[in-house]
Amino acid sequence: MLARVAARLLLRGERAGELCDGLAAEFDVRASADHAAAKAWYRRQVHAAIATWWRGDNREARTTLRRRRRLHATTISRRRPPGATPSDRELPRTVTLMERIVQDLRYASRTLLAGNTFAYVAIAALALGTGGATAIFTLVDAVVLRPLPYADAHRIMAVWETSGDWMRNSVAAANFLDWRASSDSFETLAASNTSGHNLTGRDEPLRLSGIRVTGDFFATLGVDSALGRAIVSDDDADAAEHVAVASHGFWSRVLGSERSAIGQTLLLDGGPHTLVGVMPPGFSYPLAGVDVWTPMRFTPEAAARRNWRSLRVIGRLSDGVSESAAHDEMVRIAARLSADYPEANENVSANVIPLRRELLGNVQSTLVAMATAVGLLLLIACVNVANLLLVRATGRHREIAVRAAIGASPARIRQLLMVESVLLAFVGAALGLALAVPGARFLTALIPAWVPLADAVRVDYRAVVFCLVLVGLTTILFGMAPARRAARTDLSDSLRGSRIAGGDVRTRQALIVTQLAIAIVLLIGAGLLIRSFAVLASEDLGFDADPVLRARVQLVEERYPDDDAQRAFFDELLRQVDALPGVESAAMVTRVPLGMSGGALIYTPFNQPTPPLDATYRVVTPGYFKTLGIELQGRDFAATDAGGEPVVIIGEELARRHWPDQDAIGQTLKIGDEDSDSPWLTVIGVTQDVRQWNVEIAARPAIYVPASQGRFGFFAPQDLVVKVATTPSALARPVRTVVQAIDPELPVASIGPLADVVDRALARREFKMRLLMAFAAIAALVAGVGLYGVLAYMVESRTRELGIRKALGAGQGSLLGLVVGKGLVLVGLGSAFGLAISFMATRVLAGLLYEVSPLDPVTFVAVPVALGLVAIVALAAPARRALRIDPMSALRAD
Amino acid sequence: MTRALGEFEMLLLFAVLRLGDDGYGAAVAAEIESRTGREVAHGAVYTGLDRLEARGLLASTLGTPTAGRGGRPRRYYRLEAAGEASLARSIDAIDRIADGMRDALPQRDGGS
Repeated sequence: MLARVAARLLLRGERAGELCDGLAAEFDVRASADHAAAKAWYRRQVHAAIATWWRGDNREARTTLRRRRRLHATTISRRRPPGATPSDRELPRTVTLMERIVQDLRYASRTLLAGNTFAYVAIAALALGTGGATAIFTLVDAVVLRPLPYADAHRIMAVWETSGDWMRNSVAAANFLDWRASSDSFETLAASNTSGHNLTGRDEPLRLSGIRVTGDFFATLGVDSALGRAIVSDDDADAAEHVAVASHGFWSRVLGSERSAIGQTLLLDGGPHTLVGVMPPGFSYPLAGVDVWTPMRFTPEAAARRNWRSLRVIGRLSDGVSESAAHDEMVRIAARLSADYPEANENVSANVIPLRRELLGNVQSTLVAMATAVGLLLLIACVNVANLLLVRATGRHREIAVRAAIGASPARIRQLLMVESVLLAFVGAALGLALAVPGARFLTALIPAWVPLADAVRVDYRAVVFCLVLVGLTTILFGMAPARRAARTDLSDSLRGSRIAGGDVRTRQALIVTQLAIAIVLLIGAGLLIRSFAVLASEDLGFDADPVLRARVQLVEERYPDDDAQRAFFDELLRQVDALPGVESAAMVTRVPLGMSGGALIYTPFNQPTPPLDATYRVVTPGYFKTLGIELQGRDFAATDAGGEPVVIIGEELARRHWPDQDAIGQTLKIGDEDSDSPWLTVIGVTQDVRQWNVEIAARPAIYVPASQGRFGFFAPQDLVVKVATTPSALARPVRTVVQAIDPELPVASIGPLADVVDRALARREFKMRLLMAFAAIAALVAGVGLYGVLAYMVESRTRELGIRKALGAGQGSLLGLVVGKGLVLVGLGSAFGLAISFMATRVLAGLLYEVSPLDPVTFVAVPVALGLVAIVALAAPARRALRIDPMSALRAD
Repeated sequence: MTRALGEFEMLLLFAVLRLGDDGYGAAVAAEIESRTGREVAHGAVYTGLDRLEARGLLASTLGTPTAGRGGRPRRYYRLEAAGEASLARSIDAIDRIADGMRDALPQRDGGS
C-alpha cells in the first residue's frame, strides 16, 4: 500500500505500476532465499522512494514532460498566425496558480523543515496549542454547550432546603410532600434517595447501588426506558407490586443483556421485585454507577418526618414559569412551613437551581481555567510562529530582493511567505487534531462521573471546524504581517547588504516579551495549583490509611431484623478476622472517612443552652481508633460497655467548642435537641479530629458511640477496617472468605486498601495540577526557545558592531553585559507584564485553590525566578558566541 | 541541455547499454547492484530512467505482457544517440582526468 503511494508520488501513471511490479518481483526472488531480509530490503526501498520524492529529484522530469504535453496542447488550441512557433516565453504563462502554490509548498517545506529546530518547535507548539484547544472545545461542547440529555432539560430544576448559609440541604419527606401539594410552578416534583441493595438468589450475592424514586421521577427528568417501561406514578402506591428498573450497565453486566430479563424477579434485600424496564445506556441519575431504581413509598411515619432530611428533589417547571418565579414561590411555601412547624423548620427555606448548574458547579470553573490555559498556550504558539516567520523574512531580505529584482511581484512574494505560514499552521493543525482525539478522552477525567454527558466525549465535525477556523485565523493574523513587511522590501537597500530593519527587531522583542509574559501567567497558575495540592496532600487527615484494608458489608433488615442480630454478626466477623494471620486489629464503623458519605445528628451538651448543633455521627466497635491510628485521650470503648452506662467519644473540635478550658472527659451530652428523651452520654475519650467528608473540608465536630449501645438506625456499621502487618490487599481474599463462611448471602463490596480511598479523594485535583503543569512547562520551553532565537539572532546580526567594540578594547565583561543585559531586560519586561496579568487573572483559579491565596506570594516570587533560570540557559549560547567573536573576521565579513 | 552526467546517471546509462535488449527497470537495478556491489533504491532507478528519458538520452518501449505480473508489460529502455554521445563524452572526461592517476591511489583488493 505504502509502496504504491510512494510510487505514485514518484512516477506518473503506468510507470508507477511498473516500479511496484519491479519491486514485487525482486521481493519474490529475494524472499525465496531469506524472507526476513527480503522484507527489510523492501522496507528500505519504500523509504528510499519517499526520500527521493521528498528531495524532489524527479520534479524536473515530471514537469518537463508535463510542459511538453501542455506545449503540444497549446500548439493545437491556440490560434496563431501561420508560421508562428510557440516561444519559450509562453511557458510560464501556462503555469496555473495552483501549480505555483504547489511549487511554493515544496520549496517552503524543504527550506522550512530542513534542520530548522525553530520550525519544529513552532510546529510542536502549534500542535499542542490547537490539539489542546480542540480537545477542550470538545469537552466544553459536550458538557456546557449541548443540552443535558433529557427532554426540555432547561425546565428541570433541583430544589433544595436551605438552612443558614448551607444552600443545598437534603429535603425532609414531610416538607417535600407539602411542597408538592402546594406548588404551582412545577408540573411535577420528584424525590430520590440512595439505597444500596443486596441482590441474592443468584450464584453469588451482589451489592447493588440503588436509588429509590417517587413515581414521577422519570417523567420529571423526561427520560424513558430503552426496554420495557420506566417507573411510573402508580408504582409508588402502597398496594402496587414491587418493581425495579435496571441501568443499562447492570442489565448487560449482570443480566447478560437478555431481553427476557424483563419480567424476571430480582431478590433485593430478600424482597422480590419485578424487573419492568432497562434505562438507556449512559443514563445514571442522580449518581454515577446506579444499578437499579425502585419506587419510593412513604409510610405514614416516614411521610410525617420533618427532622430527617434525606431526599434529593428535582422538579419540572410548568410551561412559561421562570426559574426565579419558581424560586420565589418555593421560598414563600417554605416560609409558611417554617411558621407552621417552627421546631423543625426554623430558618429553613428553599432554593431552586437549574439542573445544569447544579450538576456542573465546580466543573465549569475547571473548564474555564483549562480553556484559559490552553488558549494561552495557543497564543504562545501563534506568537512563536509569527516570530519564526519574521526571522525568516528578515534573514531572507536578500533572497526576496533578488526575487523582486528578477521580476517577482510583491503579490507573488507575499504568496510565497503566506504559503509558509499556511504550511506551518496546517502541519501543526493536522498534528493537533491527531492529538485532540486521545486528548479529549484523556481530559474527560476532569469531568466528575455524575455529570451526564450528552454523548460520549468525542471529536466530531464541530471540533474539526473549530480547529480549522482556529488555524485559519492563526495563519492570517500571524502570517500576514511578516509577509506584507517582506514584500515591501526596499530593493536597493537589501541588495547592498544592510541587514536589519530596526522595526523588525523591535517587533521580535515585543513578541518575545509577550511570550514570556504568557509563560509567566501559566507558570503562576500551575504554581498555585501545585501549592494547593502540596498543602492538601500534607494536610493531617487525622488517621493513617496505609496499613488498613477496608471492606463494605451491609446487613439487610430481612436477614438481620434487629440491632442485636447485627451485633452478633459483627462480633463473629471481628473474632474470625482478628484470628487471621497478619491482622493486627479489626473494627466496624458506620462509614470510613473520606468516603463522601455518612451522616450527622443534632446533639445537645449538658447544661449549655445552644441552638441545635450537629456533629458527624459514627457507630464504632472497640479498637476502631487503634486500627485507623487515630490518637485517643481517655479510654476506648470496651466489650464491657454493653449494658453499662451510656458512653461517648468525641472529637477535639467538639471538645474545644463546648469545654474549651476544662477536661471534656466526664462531661455529658445527648443526641437530639434539649427536649429529646434520649439518654445522657458520658464522654470517656477525646480523639484527634478526622476529615470525614473529603480531604478539603476541615474536620467537623464528631461523635462516636459504641456499637454495643443504643440503636443503629441509619448509622449501622457497614465498613470493616482491618489493620494488617503486611500489605493490606493481601488480606482481601481471606477476609472475603471469612464473610462468606459466616453468611454466604452477604456480598462484600469495595474491598481494598483504605489508601485507595484517600488517593481517589485527591485524584482529580492531582490531575488538574499535572495538566496545568504540563501546559506551563511547554509554555516556558517555547518561550525559552524564542528568547534564545532572538538573542542568537541579535548576536549574529551585530557581529560587526561587537567586533568593533572588541577591537577598540571592550572587555569580556562589557560584551557579556551587552548580550545578557539585553536578555535580562526582555525577561524582566516579560515577567513584569506576566505578573501584572496574573495579578488580575488568577481569580479565575480561585475555585480550584485550597488554602492558597490567588496572590500567593511564594508563587509570585518563585515563578519569575524559575523563568529566570530558563532564561539563563537560553542566554548561555548566544553570550558565548558573542565572546568568541574574532574582531578581524567580524570586520572583514560582508 | 548538454549538462554533464552525474555519477548515478552514468551508472544507469552503462547498465542500459550493457543489458542491450533486456534493459527494463528491475534488470537495470540488478545490473548496477551486481557490478557495484551496493544496494540501489529502485525508486531512484525508475525515476532516474524516467528523467534520462525526459532529457532525450533514453527511449523506452513497452514489451509484450508477461504472465504473473498482472499482465502489465515491462518497459524496455535503450540509449538514444544523444545518450550515447553524452556517455561517451563523460567517459572521455573521466579518462582524461584519471589518466596516469590510478597508481597514485591505494589499490583496492578485489576491485569491482
